[in-house]
Amino acid sequence: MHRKKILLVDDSSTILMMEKFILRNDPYILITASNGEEAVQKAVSEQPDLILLDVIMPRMGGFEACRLIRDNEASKHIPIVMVTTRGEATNVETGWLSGCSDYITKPINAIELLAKVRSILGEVTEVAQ
Amino acid sequence: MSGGRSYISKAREEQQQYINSLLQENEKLRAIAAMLENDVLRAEEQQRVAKAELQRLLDRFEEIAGENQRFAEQYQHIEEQSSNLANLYVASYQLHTSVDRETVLTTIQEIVINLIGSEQLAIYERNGDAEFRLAASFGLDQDQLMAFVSGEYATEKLGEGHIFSDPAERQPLTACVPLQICDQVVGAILVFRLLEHKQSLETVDHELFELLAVHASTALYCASLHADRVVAG
Repeated sequence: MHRKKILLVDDSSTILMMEKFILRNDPYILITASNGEEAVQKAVSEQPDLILLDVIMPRMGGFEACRLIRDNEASKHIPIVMVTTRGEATNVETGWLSGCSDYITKPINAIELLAKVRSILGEVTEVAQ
Repeated sequence: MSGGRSYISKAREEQQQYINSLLQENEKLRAIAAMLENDVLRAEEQQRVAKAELQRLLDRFEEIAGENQRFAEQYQHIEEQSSNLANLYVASYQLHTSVDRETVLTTIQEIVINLIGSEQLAIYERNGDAEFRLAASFGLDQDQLMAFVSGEYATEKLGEGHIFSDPAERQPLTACVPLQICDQVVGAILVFRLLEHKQSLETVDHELFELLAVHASTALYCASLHADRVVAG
């Protein structure tokens, strides 16, 4: 079975660890990036099936990274879920305008994250070894 | 005359035959009626058994639906427990990954921001019985913070600690978590307003406060020891 690849992008090692911990039981290949620039590069080079993208990061923020990923032929098809501390309408609107597919708010709820990831990548039928 | 008698006799015979055939037919019909009656009784019995079986199946279905519901609730509960444990595991793991003081302070801030859900916090430290000293803060104006701790919530009170279960009741402070080592208060974490979309503290947040009270203090203490050791050469 083809294992789906997820790119986790956050400048906080706590959040990256949390996301890895939540997704560890599903058979995903997890790769990470710690800022927007790295995320844009890895979106093209690694061709992940999904990107979980933090909004506020050094060097390049999530919204700009999202726009650049969408503008690139090689990565524009990849679904992007924004991970944000701000759930206000204006912030969510900015996310949609930058081209994200969905968003979740911090603190991350494990059940919500798994549900969103599975709904985008399809139900998991194989348990990770 | 004899012709007339013979006719009557013949008519009687035919009448008797007709009566006999009617009696035979009646007998047959009675037998059929008895058979049908038995069939009806048997059908009624079968219907009764079928109804009982249907009721048994309905009861079983209800029982299984109930079990299913209980399993679903248990699964949900386990998922929530797992999620809470993930928070606690990540927090304690991250706190002890470094002995660098700045990294530990950053980790404490990350835990409050990302796992508890507040972008306004302050971390205080103190040595022995000395006054509390601001070690780090996030999302707060220094003047606002100083005004707050010198007035509404004096620094001497930081060691007492308090967690407000309903943040709306005690704005802007949500929690004051004393950092303790062996019952000695060595610092405190002040958590101010929660994020807009986070309405209240949950069980896991209280557990995170308890974890921070112990693990953040030991992590900071280890970092201080490490720094002293480095300075001592």
